[in-house]
Amino acid sequence: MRRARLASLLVSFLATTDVRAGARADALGGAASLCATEPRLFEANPALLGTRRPLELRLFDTSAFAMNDSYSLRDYQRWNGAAWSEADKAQILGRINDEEFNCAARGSGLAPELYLGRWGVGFRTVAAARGALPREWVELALYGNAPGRTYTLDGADAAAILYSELAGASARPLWRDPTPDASHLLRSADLGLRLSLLRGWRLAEIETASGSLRTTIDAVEGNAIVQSRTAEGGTGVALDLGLSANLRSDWTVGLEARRLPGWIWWHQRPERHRSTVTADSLTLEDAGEDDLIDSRTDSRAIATFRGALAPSLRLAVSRRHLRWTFEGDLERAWSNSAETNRTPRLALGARFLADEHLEWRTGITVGGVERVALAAGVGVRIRSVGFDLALQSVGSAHVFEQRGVGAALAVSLFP
Amino acid sequence: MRHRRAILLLLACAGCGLEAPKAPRYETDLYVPLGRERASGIDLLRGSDYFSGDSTGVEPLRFRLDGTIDPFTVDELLDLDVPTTRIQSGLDDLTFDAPAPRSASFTLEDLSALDLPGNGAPVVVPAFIIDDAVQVLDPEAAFDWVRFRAGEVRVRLGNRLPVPIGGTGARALGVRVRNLSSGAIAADLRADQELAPGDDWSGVLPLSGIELERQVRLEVYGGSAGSGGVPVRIENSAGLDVGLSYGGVAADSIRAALPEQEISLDGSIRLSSDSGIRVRSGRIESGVIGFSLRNPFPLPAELTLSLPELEREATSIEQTFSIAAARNGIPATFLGSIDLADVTWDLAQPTDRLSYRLRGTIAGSGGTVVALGLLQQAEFTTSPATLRCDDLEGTMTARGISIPSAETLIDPPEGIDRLDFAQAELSLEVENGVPLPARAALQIVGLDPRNGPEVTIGLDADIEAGGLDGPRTTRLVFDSATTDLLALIRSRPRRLRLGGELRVGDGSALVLIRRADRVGGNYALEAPLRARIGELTYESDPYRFSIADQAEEAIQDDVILATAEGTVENHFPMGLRAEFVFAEEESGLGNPAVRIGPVAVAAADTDAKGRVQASRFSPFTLAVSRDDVDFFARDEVFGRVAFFIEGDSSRLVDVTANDFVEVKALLRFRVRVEP
Repeated sequence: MRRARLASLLVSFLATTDVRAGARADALGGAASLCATEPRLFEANPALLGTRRPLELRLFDTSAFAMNDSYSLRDYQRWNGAAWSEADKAQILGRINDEEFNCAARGSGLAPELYLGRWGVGFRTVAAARGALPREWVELALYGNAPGRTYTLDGADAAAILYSELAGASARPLWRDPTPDASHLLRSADLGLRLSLLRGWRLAEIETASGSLRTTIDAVEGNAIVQSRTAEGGTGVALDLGLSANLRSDWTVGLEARRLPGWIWWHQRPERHRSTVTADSLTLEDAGEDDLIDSRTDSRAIATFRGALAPSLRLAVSRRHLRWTFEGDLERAWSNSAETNRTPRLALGARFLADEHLEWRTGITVGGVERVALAAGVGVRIRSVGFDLALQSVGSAHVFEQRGVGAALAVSLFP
Repeated sequence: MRHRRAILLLLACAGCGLEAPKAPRYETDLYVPLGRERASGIDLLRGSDYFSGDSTGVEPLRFRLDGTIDPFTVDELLDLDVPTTRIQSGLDDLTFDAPAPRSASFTLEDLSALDLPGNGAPVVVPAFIIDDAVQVLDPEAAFDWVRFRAGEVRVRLGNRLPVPIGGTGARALGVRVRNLSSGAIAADLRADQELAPGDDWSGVLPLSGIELERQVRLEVYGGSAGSGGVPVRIENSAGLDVGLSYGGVAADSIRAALPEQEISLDGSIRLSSDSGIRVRSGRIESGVIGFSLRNPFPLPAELTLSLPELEREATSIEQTFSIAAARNGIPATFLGSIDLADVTWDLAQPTDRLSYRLRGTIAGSGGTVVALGLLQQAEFTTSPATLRCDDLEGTMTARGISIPSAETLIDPPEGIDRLDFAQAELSLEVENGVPLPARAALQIVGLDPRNGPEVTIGLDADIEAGGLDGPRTTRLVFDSATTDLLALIRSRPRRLRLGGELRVGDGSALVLIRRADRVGGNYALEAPLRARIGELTYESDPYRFSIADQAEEAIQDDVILATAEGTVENHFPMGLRAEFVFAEEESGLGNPAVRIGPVAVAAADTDAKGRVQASRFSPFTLAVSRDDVDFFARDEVFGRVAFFIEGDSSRLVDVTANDFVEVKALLRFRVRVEP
């Protein structure tokens, strides 16, 4: 029966999430679900907390990440604050290969995080934003309203969220091989649960965006309607479940369901905004009444609404070999949000424990909002203080053509 | 050591900072459509009131001046006026009892005044002259006095004496009738012979003009030759018998106790109308004839007034009324009226008179003596009235219907003088609802000419008669080959006067004329725009547009340069220039602050007849100066497009409704973006 349920879950998902949770996970490209040693509260499968561990206090763990899907850091350096020539404009527009320009940013701060036995408790604050702008609007901004062209706003999307999370997690063994020397495939299995109390600080998201702009010899006709909602505070709860299993030959598999549920009830100043921009049959012949462009924004209070943190599933497999640990995570979120993207993501990570004080980490991510990300980091313990550092190059397999960067730093105490 | 270096490298990478984001600077374009200004052939010549064209563009545009002939409706022509009519009439005859026959006998003694023995004693009677042989006759019961206008009195003489009576000379026998009161001789009749004893004689005396009183005396005069010396026996009863009898008497006047008298008065009223209509049949919609009757007779009367030619619902029109007797010689007067609404006529022949008949009875005097005479005149007088007829069948004499001179103020389009028209025609449509042929005599005068003297054109034409099924329209066309229409157009009159006369009716044709029948029409002076065209100017209607504050700032601060870009499509057979002008106020467009252009466009391709075969397109890009760009940094801007047609008057071209010029343009602002 248990196997059937496990199989069902495995079949149902190809999931990942954009939510990286800390310096170590970032250094592994996000492949940190099954870090059996010193598992982190927010980055690891909670079932891993089923293994007793010594007291650890993470003082802080902060990370930041920003990327887009079109421009590299070199482009940024080249065009940031520069005077763009027509050639530059052509290249800038040419960088956008798809129909829209996407960008995302995320930052989180975690402090403190405490582990004892099979328990862990922690607090973190997350800020995340994501946006998508149709390529035509970039063209409109660069080249103006070329006659005969229709610029479509459909597809514009953006969301931003700022919230804090107080989480507690624990795990319990589900099964232990009573005969460790026997050749059973499954040696142990654990079930973990992570419960979070959420405090939302800000939310802004576009619900719908549509419109177009067309310039003809007769008129500038167009309109844009953007409907969004905002809130300045809310409370919520989130529940994550994890299942892990140690297999023969140091294989570990895990299944993690996040945000089941993950809800924030936004009740402080919830508002809906409707912005319209109209250029209604604008011609010189009949434009006697209005300005060239008529814009208006109406805001009204709305009832408390429930914002869902996107649920996701993550399937992870890891194996330790000598001083190496390899892990592969496959994630998929169920919806887009400020933090998540529905594009499946595969993360592969490797750790090399150089000695008891130093661990090298690296990883690669394919899919998700990053498309391609390369990550590297290091963990250093000096006496009872641990440092974790991570760097990421996003958007390209070429480390010098990255379209985004990420960095993370964590400090922990091992009393 | 190796690990330490690696860590330092990682830290170095982590520390490589990114520049803080800075806004870029670049230039972009802002296109504002100037729109599409299209001027058709009619628009371009500014004067759709004067130019017309078929939408298919097959025919050239036509310069057109038109107007209407004020409609003339038969209407009042069918009003028949009844003038004041006065007719007097007396009694046709006086009814009275003729005088009774009278007789008298004169003895010889009465005649001769001799003292003769009587009772048959023989006696010689000498000759004698009759003197004062008079007898007063019995009074008449029928009258007190009468004057005869006809009749006779027969006098019979019978000599029953033994001597002859009468003779010649002084002895000639005669009889006089003398009114007793006045002593006037009413009648005197002389026998021209001697009456021997036993002879009879009679004579007749006409009574016309003789007045006779109620009581008269009979006088005999003459003489006798006597018995000639022979004794004659004279009987006492013998005498000269005289008898009077009246026959065929008719009185002229009478004073008597009279029976009822019949009176009749016939006459007719002349109907007059502007149209000279003689009516055979028709219907009177409304009309009341007032009348008065004066009764001079001392007796009341009962009278009936009838109009025998009219009837209402198959009943003749008549009215009975009573009138009092005259008093003290002052006639009595009766005032009445007769309503002729819904009355119809149906006569054998057309007439312009309305007959009437007055019949009645004067009451008898009831034993009272009254005086009546045929010279007493009753007077019948009608008051002026109008009979409004729905329709009439009859004849109409030639009637001139004046077409009131109508002046049309014309404002020929600007540049009309640059059009040298090649031909013109005047079409005249007359709608004649009157079923009579008409002849039009029209005159068109171009007043206040700008070129040369006034031009007057006279036109004569026959107009078809209207039919029973409705009016008929006669369309007359006069072209410039036969009339001086081109001279009229070229004189560029400021006013056009059209007047004249239509003559309808010939007095002989019997027609049905309805009140609603009308004569009207219109005229149109047209010249196909096949002309040599000089320079013309057309300006579009002004437009205005507002500019947002942000845009104003952008124009002032960020616009680097501006151009007007577009295309001119010329489908006219003439070259032209187009120019955009802008001003702060609409009134300032005459002296615009900004001019963009002009854009010169060559004439479209034409065939040998000067008809456009294909448009000519001229794309253009016009730079707008920095100062002109700044002009647009204001809340409101007025603008319009001016077209200047540059015909050279050298060749004949056709301009059709499909000919046009269209300008399509955008303002392109090159904007510096520097957030």
